[in-house]
Amino acid sequence: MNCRKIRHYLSQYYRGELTKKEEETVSRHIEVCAECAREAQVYKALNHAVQNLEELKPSADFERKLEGKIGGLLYTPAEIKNKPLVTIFPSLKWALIPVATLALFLLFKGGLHKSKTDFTPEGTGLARIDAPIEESREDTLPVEKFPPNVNVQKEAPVNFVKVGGEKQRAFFVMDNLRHSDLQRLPDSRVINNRLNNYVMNSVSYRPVDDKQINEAYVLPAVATISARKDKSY
Amino acid sequence: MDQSGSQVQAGFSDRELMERFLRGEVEGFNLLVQQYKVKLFNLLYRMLGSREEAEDILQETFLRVYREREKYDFNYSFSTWIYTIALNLCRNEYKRRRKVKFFSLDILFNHPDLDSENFGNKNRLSSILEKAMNSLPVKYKKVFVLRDVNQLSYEEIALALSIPLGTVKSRVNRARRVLKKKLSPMMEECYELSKDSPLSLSVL
Repeated sequence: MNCRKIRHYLSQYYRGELTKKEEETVSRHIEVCAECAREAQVYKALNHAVQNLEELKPSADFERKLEGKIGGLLYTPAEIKNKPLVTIFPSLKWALIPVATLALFLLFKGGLHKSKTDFTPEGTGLARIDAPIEESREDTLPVEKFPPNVNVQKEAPVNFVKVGGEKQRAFFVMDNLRHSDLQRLPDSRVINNRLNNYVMNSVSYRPVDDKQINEAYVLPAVATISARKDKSY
Repeated sequence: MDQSGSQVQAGFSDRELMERFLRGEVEGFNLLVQQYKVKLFNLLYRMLGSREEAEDILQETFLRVYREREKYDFNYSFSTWIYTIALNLCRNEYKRRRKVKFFSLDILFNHPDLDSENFGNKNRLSSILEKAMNSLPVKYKKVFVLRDVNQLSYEEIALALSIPLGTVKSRVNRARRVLKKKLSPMMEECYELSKDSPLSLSVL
């Protein structure tokens, strides 16, 4: 093979793109042809330089920006911040009126639960998670479905769990919730993969002062979404 | 077509991650973002010459992956799909700009952001290579970066750019030849050194 043909192959030689036969031909040629060997060395150096180019990294808040555009779906539990309910579920504002009525009705029917802090979320559409509401009992998830670090409160009127003893965070668990459903909750936080197949939404944590940090309130409106869950349990 | 995709640190292939994502596990999407963000960012940065624009297009790329996930065809590799999205967005950006002079080194000097020092290059050759790559006509630069920097296969590049395989090969080859020519003077020096000590090439 003449030098011209060999040089055509040289750019692929060091990238391992030649067939075995072509490679051998080139190898043999550059052993005896100084000009082509010189050319081959330049390609080798070019290849080496390309493989060693520095990589730039996107800005540190890249994921946060992306998550903002997507709608809060990229949070990890450690990053969850407390937010007022209405900002967590802006799309559920419409549900607040009937839900508030129902919640108040249930609260008064069952008797207002006396708490140490006596914090009552009047007019917010919130129900106490520890409110004794037997009617919702069927909504509670079987405890055995959760990993050990998740403490499921059986008494909760809706599916309410606490993760890893972090009492500041309340999670509402829905099974088989698709992302199309989640898009209806643009600001909801999803923590996936933490609970097997469950998609978790942190919901309804009401920011309170330090003394009331253990108090969490579940928005009954969310319970309407739980109707989407698989009826297998 | 490549079915396996690349392996991420968690040991899942792109395909598995995409399947998880489609099942509703957002972790699958998160891992795909981690897997591709740096590679795509560098590609877009080299194509666009601006950090901000590269990052914007990258955001848009992942946003499309997220929104259009149902349209992903498992007959093709995920990397082909995401590169196609990124490159299409990049092309739109070019159309928007219109006045970029690809054949001129002006772009380098008009874009302080593209200064090779941004890459923190450890050596002179890398710095010269960055500049040389940026002086390539865009159609050559694109295939060269995809093939030699991002390590896509020729087939993947052909699919992502919707151009014939032969065209991809010839453009890559041409780009390498042009770069070799541009870098030759400096490399020749190294070659002279390497004649005495073959190891000296490794300092490049």
